[in-house]
Amino acid sequence: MSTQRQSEWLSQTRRGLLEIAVLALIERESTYGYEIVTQLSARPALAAGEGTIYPLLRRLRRDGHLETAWRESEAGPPRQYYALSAAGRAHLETLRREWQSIVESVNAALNPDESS
Amino acid sequence: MTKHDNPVIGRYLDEFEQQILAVDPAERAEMVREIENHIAEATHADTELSVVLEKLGPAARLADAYRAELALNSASPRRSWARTLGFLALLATTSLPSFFVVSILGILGPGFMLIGVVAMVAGPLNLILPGVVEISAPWPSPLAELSVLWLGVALVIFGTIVSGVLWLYVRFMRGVFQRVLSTVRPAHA
Repeated sequence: MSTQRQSEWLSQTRRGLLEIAVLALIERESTYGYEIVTQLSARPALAAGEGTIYPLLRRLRRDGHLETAWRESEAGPPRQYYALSAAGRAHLETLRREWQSIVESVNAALNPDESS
Repeated sequence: MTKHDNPVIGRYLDEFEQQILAVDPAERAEMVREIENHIAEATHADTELSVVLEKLGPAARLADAYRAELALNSASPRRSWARTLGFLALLATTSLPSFFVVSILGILGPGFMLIGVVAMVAGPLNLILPGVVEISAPWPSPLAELSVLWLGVALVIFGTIVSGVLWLYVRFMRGVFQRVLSTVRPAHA
């Protein structure tokens, strides 16, 4: 696989995984954009920055997976909080199941001795 | 246009907004506000503005990321208008009932609105400059002019309703077309 193909593959994989990471983060507690960006950009493997997280949040909202509400903050500007909708919870459950099944299958392929 | 106390932030948000004109105005305003809020949060947390903007990336690239994520095809409202007109043409030529609905409502709606506006101007104009417009009504001035004015208002309202019906019809048919096309178009990987 050429370096360019590798980089494309990584970028596509990360894009898909970022959706799970964002939904899982919001599932734990409703939170706001800046906090989501700060938490996820601390995980270099996801390579997620503002430029990918905000568009993703917008799409998840359009798809009906997220609900939003503006709240005043004690210091600083008002914050738009994101929470999972019922559809969002169901979507995350599906993604979680799929992801676990993929991980198991890929691990079995990578380490055939351990899985036998 | 985005108003902001800081001209650097104002310019960035303006440029971003100009790139996402294809999004409807209410959602566009929300998108600009979420970026504006991110900048406010980050600078409030003592991050240099230049660093915040650098991390966000150029406004055009940020808009590209939104477009890619939301599957928007165009940044220009003119192109979006062109798409709507193209869809109207497709609608009118692909089915006989749609041809009549689009042609008749498309002429009647704007037509009534235009005549209404002319009547709304002609009535009061004849009061200011008598004799400029010939009004033949069974009642005397200024009742005749006022009746023309009210007729104009009624025509504009009627024209707006007709245009609204056309818009609803187009929206409904677009939904039908999208549902039909999604069954024949291969899904994106």
